[in-house]
Amino acid sequence: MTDKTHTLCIAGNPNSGKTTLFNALTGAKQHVGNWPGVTVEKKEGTVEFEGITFTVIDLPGIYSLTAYSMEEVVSRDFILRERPDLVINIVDATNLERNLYLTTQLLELGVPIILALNMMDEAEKKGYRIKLSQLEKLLGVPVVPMVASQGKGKEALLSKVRQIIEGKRPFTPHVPVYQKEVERAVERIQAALSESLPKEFLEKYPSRWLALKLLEQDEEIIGKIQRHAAESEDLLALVEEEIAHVVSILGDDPETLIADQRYGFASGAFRETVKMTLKDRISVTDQVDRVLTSRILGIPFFLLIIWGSFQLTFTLGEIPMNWISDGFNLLGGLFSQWITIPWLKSLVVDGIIGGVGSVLVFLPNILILFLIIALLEDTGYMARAAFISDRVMHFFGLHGKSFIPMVIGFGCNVPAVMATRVLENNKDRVITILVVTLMSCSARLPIYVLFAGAFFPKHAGNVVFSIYLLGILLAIIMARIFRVVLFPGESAPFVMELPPYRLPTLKGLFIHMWDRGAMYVQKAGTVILAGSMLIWFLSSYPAHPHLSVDYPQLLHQEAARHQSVLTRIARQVHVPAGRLSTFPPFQQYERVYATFKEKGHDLLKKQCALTSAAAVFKHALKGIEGRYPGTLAAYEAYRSEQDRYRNAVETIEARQAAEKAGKSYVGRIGKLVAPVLHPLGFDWRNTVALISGLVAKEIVVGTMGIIYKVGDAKNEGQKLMESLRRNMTPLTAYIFMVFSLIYLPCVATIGVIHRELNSWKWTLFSASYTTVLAWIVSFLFYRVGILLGLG
Amino acid sequence: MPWDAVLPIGSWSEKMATDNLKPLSGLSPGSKGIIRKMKTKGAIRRRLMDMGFVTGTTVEVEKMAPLGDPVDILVKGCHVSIRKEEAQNVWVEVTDEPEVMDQGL
Repeated sequence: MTDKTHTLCIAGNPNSGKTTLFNALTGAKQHVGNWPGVTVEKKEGTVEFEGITFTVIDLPGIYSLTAYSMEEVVSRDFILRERPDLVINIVDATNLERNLYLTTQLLELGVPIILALNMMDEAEKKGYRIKLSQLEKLLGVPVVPMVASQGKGKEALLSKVRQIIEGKRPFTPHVPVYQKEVERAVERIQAALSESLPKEFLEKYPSRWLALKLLEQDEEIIGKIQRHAAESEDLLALVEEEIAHVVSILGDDPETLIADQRYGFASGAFRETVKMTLKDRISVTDQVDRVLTSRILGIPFFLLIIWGSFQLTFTLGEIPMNWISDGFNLLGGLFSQWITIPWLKSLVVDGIIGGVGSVLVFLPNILILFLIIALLEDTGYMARAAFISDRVMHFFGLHGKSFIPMVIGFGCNVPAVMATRVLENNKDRVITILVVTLMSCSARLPIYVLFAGAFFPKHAGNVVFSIYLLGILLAIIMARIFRVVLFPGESAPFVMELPPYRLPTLKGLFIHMWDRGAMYVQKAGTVILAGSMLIWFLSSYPAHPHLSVDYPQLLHQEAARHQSVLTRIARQVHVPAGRLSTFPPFQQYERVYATFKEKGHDLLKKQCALTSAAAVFKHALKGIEGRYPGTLAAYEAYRSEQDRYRNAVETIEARQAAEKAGKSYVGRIGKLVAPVLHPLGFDWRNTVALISGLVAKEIVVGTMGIIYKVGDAKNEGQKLMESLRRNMTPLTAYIFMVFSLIYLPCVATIGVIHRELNSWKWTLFSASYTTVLAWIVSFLFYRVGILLGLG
Repeated sequence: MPWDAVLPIGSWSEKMATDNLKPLSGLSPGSKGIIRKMKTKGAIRRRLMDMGFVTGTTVEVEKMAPLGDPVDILVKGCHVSIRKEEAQNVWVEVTDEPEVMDQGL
């Protein structure tokens, strides 16, 4: 035996236990990627057996080998082009007939196959007696009984694999034989193919298989022929002729006849090998379905499960999310102490640590969400969820399985985009991803809270709700438009298996969760990180723009003035200026003020208690004055000077920050773009805030605070609301909320969209259509608002 | 020109109905039938065939979704959910109709 590694691949129907077998074989030694050019997951792992290393590839779950889905094309291309040493065809023993249909097609590819007959325990429970030797004889391939979820049959499988690879077992597959006319057509096409196709091509693609695919009018194969065959037009004309001939004699097209015959072969093999020893009884699945998909309870259960998933993802996810963001804040704090060079400090703390933090902060949500999705998928409930919600979703041009991503979108668009993986059809996926960003995520809520609070304090709840509703409405309208405009013609069929309910394996669930979480960090992390750093750069550079006022000079003047006032006070009480803050009577006054200032605030509201509190306060001050005569007036002067100085410094710094923000690249872009948003009633400040929101929409509020010169917006909410009210009307405020809802999703979402659709075209489309839509809707609202006299 | 060359003798679906065939969408839960004709084209037809909807196969209407669409069809031992618009094009010979009774939950 050589040391060379051998390649095995696992092919089988969805829900046949394919991934379970893959996990049982490879354990933790696996990695997940994508098939080149498509977003179909590719899982690869290794297994060692008796000194031989096998590379195992988990092909996607498929029912057939047509060009119906990307999964099927990827699978057949892999088998034909890469020529694995062996294909392990995993087959659900409880569902042999339908599963063998794929087997017949795999056999026609002409690669060595071994049949792994999975779920033998369930089949026995159902009373199926399967004659394995008979099945081996009929198909001409080795058959191994297995219970993959318990690892049973793994050794036997690998040892048979070894025997085949070492050539100890001849491979003599039996393939379906079609009607005479079909077979003749196949022969004639085969002959023509071997003349017009290059040898290398025929080495990969067996001519009989090609002929069958041509008779089936497989578009992908026709395309291949057109590219590779000499005189392809003549060849395809011959195919057309043969099809017409078959139709004229047998009254049906070859596509149907071939499928019928394959099923006939599968049914024959099934009938001759399986004996039912028990009468059909009502299965557990049917019993569970009587509740979960029933007319009355189906929908409540569905809503409950969706609600529960949402709650778990975001409520449970919030706890580790806070740890992560606290951790990154701590790290940022440490680094800002260590690094003394200002630009480097800003790059590391705000750019890198902030950027990585913004990626990792979503990780708990994503892991929990994928655990839940894995649970829903592996138990079989996901298909029921689609079954229940399809009626509504189909009406909107979507698919039943689009429902879950849409709901997740209210929490965060990033996991919502990733959740669209449950959709098999690419068109459905693209449309769902495009509209999912219109679901108002939780990061947009602070914007609504600020504006609704400032402008509609009495109806804040209703105003915010109307924004959410607008998002849903737009998603529905856009989904319908996209269905018609982007993907016209035949709508994707909704033909979906409702698999039996099964208990998932813990290992499977965690592998699933971890794979996808790791993929998010690896791939999306790079785009999101780059995006965050770009926005950071644009908003912090140029670092020293030419400012209209010399702010440091102003600060210096203020400090000098402050110092001279303090010196004067110090002279009054005969202490050195530097010791004023530790001067004992001043400290005592300070305590009295601290106690009464806080309490006084509350007491002010209760007018009745005011007089007595003020009296006590005055009495306390007088007491100290009595002990240290002449200090009270000095302290009051000291106190008011401290307040004045603090305010003066804050005002200067806020003015500086505002001017810097205006002169940074983001500010310049904002001013440049502002004319475009002018028709919506926005000024350049609104524009800059919106641009900064690309990193994460909650940043909009912070930027507003900076630009409106109120310092840190979080602590100065009241002040910010006042400035907003001075600068905007309720109408523009509402439109600002509308625009924030719709425009360009955040960098993280853009990164994930690119990662998921693997296409710059769709990523750019998503980014641009949302912005254009935001403009149009805002413009309409603004115009209508003005007409109604709300401006 | 003779009339029968111009006018079709009843539309195709009428002819199917007279042959005692019914579209699968017209069957109530619990009914069984044998697939006789697939009227669909293209990807949907392909998909249905791959899922076991081939002529001569017995199918059973299991249940409808709570909102009335799609329907759950038992075919070759598997539950397959298809929309009514797709079921409309699967023509079956009805073999078993449940007595009019429980309207389900």
